[in-house]
Amino acid sequence: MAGSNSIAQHGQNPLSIAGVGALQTITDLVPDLLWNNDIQGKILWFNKRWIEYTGDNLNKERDQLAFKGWQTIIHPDDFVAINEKWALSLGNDRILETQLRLRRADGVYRWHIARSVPMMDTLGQIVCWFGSATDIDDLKTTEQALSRSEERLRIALQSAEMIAWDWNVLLDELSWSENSSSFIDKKGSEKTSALLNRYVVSEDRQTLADSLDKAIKEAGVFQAEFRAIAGEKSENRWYYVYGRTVSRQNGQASRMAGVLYNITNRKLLEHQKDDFFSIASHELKTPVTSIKAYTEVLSEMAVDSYPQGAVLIDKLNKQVDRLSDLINNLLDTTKIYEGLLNLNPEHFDINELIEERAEDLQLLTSKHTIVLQLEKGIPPVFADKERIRQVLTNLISNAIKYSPGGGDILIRSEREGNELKVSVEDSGIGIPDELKTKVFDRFFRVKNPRVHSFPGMGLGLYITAGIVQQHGGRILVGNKEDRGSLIYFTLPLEG
Amino acid sequence: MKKILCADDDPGLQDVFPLICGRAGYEVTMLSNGENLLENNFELPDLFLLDKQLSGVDGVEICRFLKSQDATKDIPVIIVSASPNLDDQAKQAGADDFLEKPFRMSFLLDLLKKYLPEKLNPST
Repeated sequence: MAGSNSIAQHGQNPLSIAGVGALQTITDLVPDLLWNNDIQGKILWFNKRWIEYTGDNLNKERDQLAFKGWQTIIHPDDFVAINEKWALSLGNDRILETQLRLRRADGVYRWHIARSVPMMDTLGQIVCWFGSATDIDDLKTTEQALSRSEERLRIALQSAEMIAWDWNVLLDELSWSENSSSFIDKKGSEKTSALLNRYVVSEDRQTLADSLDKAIKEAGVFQAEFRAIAGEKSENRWYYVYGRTVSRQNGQASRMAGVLYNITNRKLLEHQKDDFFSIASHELKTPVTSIKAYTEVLSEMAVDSYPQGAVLIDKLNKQVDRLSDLINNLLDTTKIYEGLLNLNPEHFDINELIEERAEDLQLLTSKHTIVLQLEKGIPPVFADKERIRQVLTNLISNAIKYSPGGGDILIRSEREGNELKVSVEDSGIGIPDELKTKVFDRFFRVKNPRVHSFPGMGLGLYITAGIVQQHGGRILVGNKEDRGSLIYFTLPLEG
Repeated sequence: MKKILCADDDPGLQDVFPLICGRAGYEVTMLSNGENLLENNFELPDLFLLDKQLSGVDGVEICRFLKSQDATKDIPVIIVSASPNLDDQAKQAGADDFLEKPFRMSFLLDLLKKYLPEKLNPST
């Protein structure tokens, strides 16, 4: 090659000191494939990496090495395109750059970026080409995987009608994934405060801003529901937003990312359900009211004039009461399940309520004795009195029901720190260990081999648990050494 | 005899109120809707018994109206409803009391006794 003379002219260049030997060392050091070919494409020279990669013949001296031919090295799918590009480039002196797959010695094709630079003589004619190929296979595979992954994400977001957002907190730059214009229409970056004010209804802005601030300060997670006016027709919509801290600075969130989606349909459904409850409630209870009224009047009428009838009417009346309770229970269950139970709390004395219930329920049984152990001086509890009455009624009547052989039913009340604890204990059939948490499930019913079945829809304890939990209390099956069951619940006490 | 004006649009109950209250010695006038009450088209009773869900008009609103009129503001109003959580709403509208359906006859009669203290002995 004529190169060494021109290299010598460069003076301080280290190559000029070491010469051709150094050049060879460098070319063998480089991890890329290097080669030199004539204008017919015949390889004149290649570097060590070329030999290692393609597995070309190693036994001969480099300048005698037989070249297998481009066709064996380049992937058949890429060969045609390369040839075309090559043919086009022969007429000019531009760098030829292309991506192609080269065959490794073991037969595996890997992506490379190949570059060819022409060398010209003093007349401007191309004498030969120098080429290099850099392995970009890992990069390419990653790119393809990323592309597929992004495609999947886009499809997922689109089908869930969600958008993914990314927020640089420090610079207050918010960006989000492309999406259909079914919600926030503007694409691109926009300041968050501007966004909030543009879309979110005024009543929800403060709460949203507050929860966002909290999440930033604690570098945590944030989620919120809010209403916004959005869409082409400026509709009222409900949105749910979720985000988490992706990176922190000085203990606070510096970048957050999450999703936003339209929950308007869900909210409408909830309102429909709410409406359904009040309508169903009214519709079912109204005929029951009439029936009850007539039975009570009949009862009064029959007492003096038709005593046999009076007995039957009395039974009728009890069944009407039972029907009424069942309807109430069913509606309560659905409300609890949907989280729609409304409470009307007031201050009242728990012991008074327990005494009242005990007195009433004692009348229902002669086989059992209700015993009270109530701690004096418990401060008034702030709770829905009617609902707690319901809880006590359920627990005590269960105690009666599940101790068919009779016995004592012990009701205790005590104060434990900030909590009120009330327990109801019987000496009946008991609750096996494995069922201790299941008894509070909706529709759970006892299967006792000794008795065919206990009446009831299995809703009582579910409702009781729902009421207690709604008050912020707990309800549990306690441990008992002897036979029977112990169930207790707690309610928070103020102060 | 104490007069009760009762408004309830449910046909099943239209006989019940006069029956129960009549047996207890009260005179009952039944209305099936609330419009007459808003138009002041009625004879003044000693007590109003209003169902919350009257066709077309909310019983609570009627109560509010009655309590705002000089002629009727001192007459006790009891609101009847199948929804248990209307206590507050009813009280805010000025109702004197609230009765939840389905009710025991005795509950209703106790309320009547409370708001209409002088009662004649029931005819049996």
